[in-house]
Formats: sequence, structure tokens, C-alpha cells
Amino acid sequence: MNSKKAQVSVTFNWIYILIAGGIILLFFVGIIVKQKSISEDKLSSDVLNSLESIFTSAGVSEKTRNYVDMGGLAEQELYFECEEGVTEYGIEGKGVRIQNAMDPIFAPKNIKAPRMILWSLPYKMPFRVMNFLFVSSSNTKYSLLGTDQFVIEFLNATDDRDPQLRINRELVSSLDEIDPGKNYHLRVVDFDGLNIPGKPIPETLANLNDEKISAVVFNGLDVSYYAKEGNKWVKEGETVTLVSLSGERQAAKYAAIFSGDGSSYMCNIKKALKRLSYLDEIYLAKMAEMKEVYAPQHPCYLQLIGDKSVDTSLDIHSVAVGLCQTGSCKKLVEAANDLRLANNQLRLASCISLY
Amino acid sequence: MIYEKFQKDKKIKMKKGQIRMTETIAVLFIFFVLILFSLIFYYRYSETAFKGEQDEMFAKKAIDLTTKTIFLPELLCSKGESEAEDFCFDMMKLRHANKTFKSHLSDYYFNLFSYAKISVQEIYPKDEEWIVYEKKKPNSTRTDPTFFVVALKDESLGGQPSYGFGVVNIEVYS
Repeated sequence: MNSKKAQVSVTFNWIYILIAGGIILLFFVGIIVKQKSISEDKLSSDVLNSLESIFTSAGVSEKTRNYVDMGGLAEQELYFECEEGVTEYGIEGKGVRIQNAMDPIFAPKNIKAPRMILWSLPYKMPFRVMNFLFVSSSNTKYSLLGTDQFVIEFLNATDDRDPQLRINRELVSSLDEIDPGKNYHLRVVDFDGLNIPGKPIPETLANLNDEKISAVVFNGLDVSYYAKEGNKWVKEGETVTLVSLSGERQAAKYAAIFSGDGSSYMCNIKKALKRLSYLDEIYLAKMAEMKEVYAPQHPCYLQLIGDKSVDTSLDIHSVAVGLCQTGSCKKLVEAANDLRLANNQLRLASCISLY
Repeated sequence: MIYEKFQKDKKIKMKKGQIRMTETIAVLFIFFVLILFSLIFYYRYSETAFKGEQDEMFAKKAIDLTTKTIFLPELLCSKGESEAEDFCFDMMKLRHANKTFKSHLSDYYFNLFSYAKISVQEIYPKDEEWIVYEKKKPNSTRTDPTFFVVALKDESLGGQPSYGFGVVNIEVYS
């Protein structure tokens, strides 16, 4: 009887130990899994916060180019999108993301690279509005097609003595010449508007995944974006208009090349237009103070007022900014050009200039 | 005799049982005390880590805001098509910027500056202060001021640019 009791007791003890041990083990496994997910989220959050700071400093200083070593995040895919005036970026598949309603960030839709390249250029309309920040990566390649003067400017502007700061780009004479290599994304830039629309995709590119290749086509001030579908180009969204003054380093034109698509391009441009409208208010106040400095007969005062003067051009400019925010930007480009001319005349006459 | 032996055995067994129970209770007590100590330690550690992270974020916010302010196109001295003058504020813009910042505070500038106070103290030639932006945080516990020396360009005095200097004070509310 006693031996039977002991047998039951020993078996029960072992079952008890197994269950209790299993529960304790499960508890610790649960903690480790939870902790791992928390650590990953924290790492993503830390990286994105650092990126935000890097974007802020890269965005405020003019004409700077720097790179970010992605380290452990080289295998993670970063996404960039802009909707309703808010840019959002984060790590694909993770809940952590950063939203930015202020700074125009022109970037490909996705980046998965060991090195991210950041470049800023001032956007002037005609005075400096803000810096445009261009985001690219070591494995995002830009293949340039066309004979436009801007091709050479782009090649020179994106070159750098430091190979880590050099934008991955090549000049080609036809689509057949493009070598996609092992790049994560290939962006074809057609400056003449003759190589992409209605043209087939050569075999070397047709084998690539559709999302690995995209194209941007310039036609005067019009910009269209194309995506690959099998072996043909398909236009993506509406044609957008460049809101830019002529001359060198047209930030809006560079922005179109680095932008993922037309809608994100316009979304970021609208951020700049909003800032421009507020800057106009400050310049209108400065204009009023400038008129008080000179006596009515002073030659500078006479330059300030009248037809095509800074005063009238600035008034037209501020109205045109409002129009541009709702759709038509042609008038804004004209007004900005007139304002630039009037301001240059003031500077030549050694009068106070508006900007 | 047998009954007495039985009673004695029973007493010894009960004593043994009591000792075991006390042992078990003592072990459980020590176990819970250890758990409590671990929890307190973890809570204290988390609290310190959280405070450290908050301080770091606060410092980062202050640096970001200072960088943004120094390069603000609303205040910077421009030179036509050339690059803007570094660390220089145009007084003819500075005097009016506050009005624009105030009127578009909720729809734009709050996103840029958040809870902060930005003021410019002119030191030379005059002694004057301009509050460029101010949005106080309710129940704010601390502020972190950052100072930066800037040139102040004023063309309103006879049409020729005259330069003074001042200090930009950027206070971030936490």
C-alpha cells in the first residue's frame, strides 16, 4: 500500500515539475520574444529620429551633400511617400514612422541600400524660399538620356571627388545602352521627351521586376512619370508642371528627377508654395518700410513704384502664389521673373533691394 | 503503552510538518522579496533610462530649433541672386516677422517651432529686444535657452546698410 502511494507521489511530482517548468520556460520565452520586438521597434525609432535630425540639418544648410551609412539597416527597406502635404517615411513593415509637414523631401519611393545620399539645393522664387532636400542611395541609378544643356549641368552637379558622395548616374545615348547592374532601382531620365513615351523597353531592362525601374520625361516645363509594365512604359498619374525660374541649379527640376512620382513631387512643391505665401507677407511689409526710407522725389523711390517695379511685381507675385496653390502656376513664374528683374535694377542703382 | 508511542510519533510528525511548513513559507517569502527587489530595481532603471531619453530628445529639439532659426529665410540677410549672408538677420524683415508668425501660428509655424520662444536682443548700436516667436507650453517644467550671436543688418537708416550685432535667444519649453 505504502509503495503504491510512493509511486503515485513520485509520478505526480514529476508531472508537477514538468508543468511548472514548462510554464516558467514559456514565461521567459514570452519575455524574450516581447523584448526582442520592443528592441527592434526602439532601434527603428532611434534610427528614424536620427534620420529626422540629419534631414533637418541637411535641409537648412545650402548646397550641401552628405551621406548616411545605413549600417545594420542596409537590409531594411525604407519607404517615402507624400500625401496631402505631409511626407511620411519609415521602415517597411515596422510601425514606427516619421511625418513631416514642413520640409520638402524628394526621394525615391523605396530605398534599400548600404549608403543614403542627401543633397540640398535652395529653391528660389525669385528669393530663397527654402532648401529642397534630395534623397538618393548608392544603389539607385540615374540613366540620363537626351541632348539638353541640363544633362551636362546635372552630371557636373552630381559629381564629387569623394566617391561616397557621388550620385550613381550615367549618360547614355539610347535605352539599349543602359546597364541596370545590381542596383536596387533604376531611374531613366529622358530630357528630350523622345525616348520613353510610346517606345518599347529593350530586352536588357524588360527582364527586371516592374518596381525596379521607372522613368521621368521632361517636355519643356511639363514632367511626366512612367512605370514599367512588362515590356512597355505606362504613364503614372497626371503630367506636372515645373514651378521654376530659368537659369542654373533649378532646384525644382532636380527635385523632379529625384522624386518617386508626380503626386509626391507636387505634394512637396506645395509645401514650398505655402512657405512662399508667408514669405510674401514679410516682403510686402519690408516693401512698405523701404518706401518710407526715401523721399518721394528720390530716384530710388521712383524705382520702387510704377509699372514693372518691385512694388507692383511683388503684389502680382503674392496673388500668383495663391493661384499656383490651387493649380495654375504659369503666372507665378512670370511674376517671379519680373520681380527678379526689378530687384536687380534696384541693386544696380545702389538702392535698397527687396532681397 | 502503544497508545503513548502513537501519540509521541504523532507529535514528532506534527513538529516535522510544522518545520516544513515554516520552511516553505520562509522560502516563499524570500522568493517574493527577491521578486519585489527585482521589480523595484527594474522600475528605477526604467525611470532613469526614460528621463535620460527625454533629456536627449529635449537637447536634440533645442539643437534642431537653433539650426532652423539661424537659417530662416524669413529673417536671413539676402544678397540678390548670391548666397545669403551667414549668421545675419535683416532688420527690415525681423521687425515684421513676428506678425506673420503670429497670424499663421496654428496652421504653419507651430509645426516649425513647436513650444518655444525666439527673441533677438540687439546689443549694438541700440539696446532693444524683439520677440520673434512665442508659444508657451501649459504646465511646462523647464526651459532650455540657447544663445547665438548674429549680425543685424539695417538698411532703413538712409538707404545704406549698417551692421550691428545682437544675440538670438532660443528657449525650448519641455
